Amino acid sequence: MDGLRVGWQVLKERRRALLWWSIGIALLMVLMGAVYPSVRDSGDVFEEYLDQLPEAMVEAFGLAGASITSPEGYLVSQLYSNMYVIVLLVLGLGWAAWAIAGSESDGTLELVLANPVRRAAVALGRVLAVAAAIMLVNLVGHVVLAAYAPSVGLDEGLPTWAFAYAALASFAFVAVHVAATFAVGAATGRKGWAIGVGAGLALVGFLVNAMAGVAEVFERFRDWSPWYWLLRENPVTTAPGWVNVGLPLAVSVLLVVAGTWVFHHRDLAG
Amino acid sequence: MASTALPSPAPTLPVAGDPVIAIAGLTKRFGRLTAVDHLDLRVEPGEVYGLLGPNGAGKTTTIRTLLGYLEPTAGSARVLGGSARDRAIRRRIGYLPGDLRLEGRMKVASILDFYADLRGGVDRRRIDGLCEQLQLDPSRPFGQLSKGNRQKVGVVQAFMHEPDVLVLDEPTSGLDPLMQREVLSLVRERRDAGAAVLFSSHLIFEVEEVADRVGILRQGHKVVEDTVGGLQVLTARQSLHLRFTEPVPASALAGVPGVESVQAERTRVAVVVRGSVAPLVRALADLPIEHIAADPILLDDLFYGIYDGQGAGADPRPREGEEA
Repeated sequence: MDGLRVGWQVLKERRRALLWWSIGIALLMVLMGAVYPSVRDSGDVFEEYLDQLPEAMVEAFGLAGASITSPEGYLVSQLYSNMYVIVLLVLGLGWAAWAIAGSESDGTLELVLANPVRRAAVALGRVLAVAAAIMLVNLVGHVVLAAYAPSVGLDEGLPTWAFAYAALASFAFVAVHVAATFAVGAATGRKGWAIGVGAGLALVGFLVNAMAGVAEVFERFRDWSPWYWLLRENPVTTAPGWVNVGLPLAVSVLLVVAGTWVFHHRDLAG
Repeated sequence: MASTALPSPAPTLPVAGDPVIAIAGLTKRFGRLTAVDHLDLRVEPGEVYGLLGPNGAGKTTTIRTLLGYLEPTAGSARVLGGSARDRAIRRRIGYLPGDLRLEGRMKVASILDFYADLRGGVDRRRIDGLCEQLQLDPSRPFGQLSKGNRQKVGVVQAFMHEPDVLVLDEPTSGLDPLMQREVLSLVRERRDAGAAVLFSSHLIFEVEEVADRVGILRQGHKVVEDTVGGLQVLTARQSLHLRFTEPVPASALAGVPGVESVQAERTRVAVVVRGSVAPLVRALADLPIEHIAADPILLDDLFYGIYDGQGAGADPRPREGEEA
């Protein structure tokens, strides 16, 4: 209960930020939807353009065989293989690094821990708050997308729950990075390291996944890339499964538990 | 998640004679730096213990170890017979950090409600009463408050649950003299109710005013521990600034009993007095005195006293890389 109280307080403290993130993500979705008809109608031009690009770049778009003019190809190449999840990553990594390490170095953690509440409860409560924040913004984005998609034909041929599938897979993808950031911050108390590891994981994972088609050296590591877990199959047309949701969430839980354990046993920075 | 029910702590205070705070042989090292070195310190119920020391003496490290934020390198720091890591014990502690930081966007009332909730609920009237006593407006966002008003928020959260143990790290920093008095009177109130108070400060006069016993830390060592009465011997050196309506030579005051040194510059004279100022005041009455100001006694002056007079045996030279 104490943990939930601590988490709820974080959401209260940051409610304005959450509002702005939600508005931002809603605008992004509307903008992406509004552009779709022109991409679809100019069809062949885009296809030809993509044919000319190096395979690695096409691979990085995460098209996985789909045409960019189809709803599922458009969504994955414009949102889920880059912009959309990166926006969520920016939100998630910032909050996750603050959860312990940031608030430890800005001095706000100390007084919370003077109360009769376990360190682990504070850590888990805050990580839950970060997860809730990402889920909320993610939900707003997908509700807006789902509401807007039919008017531009962006839902044609998609499963009924396509946007829910994509929302879950996006969340699971961001969760791994958030958990790694949180864990490093909780274990070391250093916000810079936390952000560095979270952002580094995202960057390296992106490169490995994008370059896997070109260089064998990357191919070998692709199975370790959270981007591959997300994009191996199109997140819009694929129901949540072990690879795109189960695996990232399991890894996230392990990371959070490990970070919390170290946090519980170490000295606080002063 | 942290919802396993704990037996509620016994409402009674520990029996008199049992120290509430018991620090024994405490050593804390950070790498090669020894912040606290074999420190022994006890605070009894109904006692205010003043922990004095310059910045970097180890006061804050001692307090942070006592609260369970740091693990001792050696020795122990116990509160109410256990560790402050124990939630049942932490429930009975009120803590005010030396450098209070809180979430700036939140209103004071909302911050205090949060802390009250974490403590399992605090009487609303008690919070309101404290805010009123300290003239703190709880409807304002914390971030918009002056340093003094921020400190008041810390004071309210430390006192609101009427703790049996108070750990106050420089509690009056940033407060104006009037509010300083209010806080000291709150400390006395808790002491009279039987609480044990560990009160750190680098200001001698406030420790003198409120503490029953005083310990002085320097470079992680306790160099002196005494009752306040005993300590006054050491602090009886005062520095006065005098202003006259016309120039007065140093020789006019040099021979006055108790006056150790005189520095005169036309109408302004600085005097250091050991012991009573009565002879000096009598001498001044015959001179064209206009204004008298006294310096607060500085800890450094006190150390002169200790090293000159008592020879506490500690190395008075500052060490490099010293840190709190």
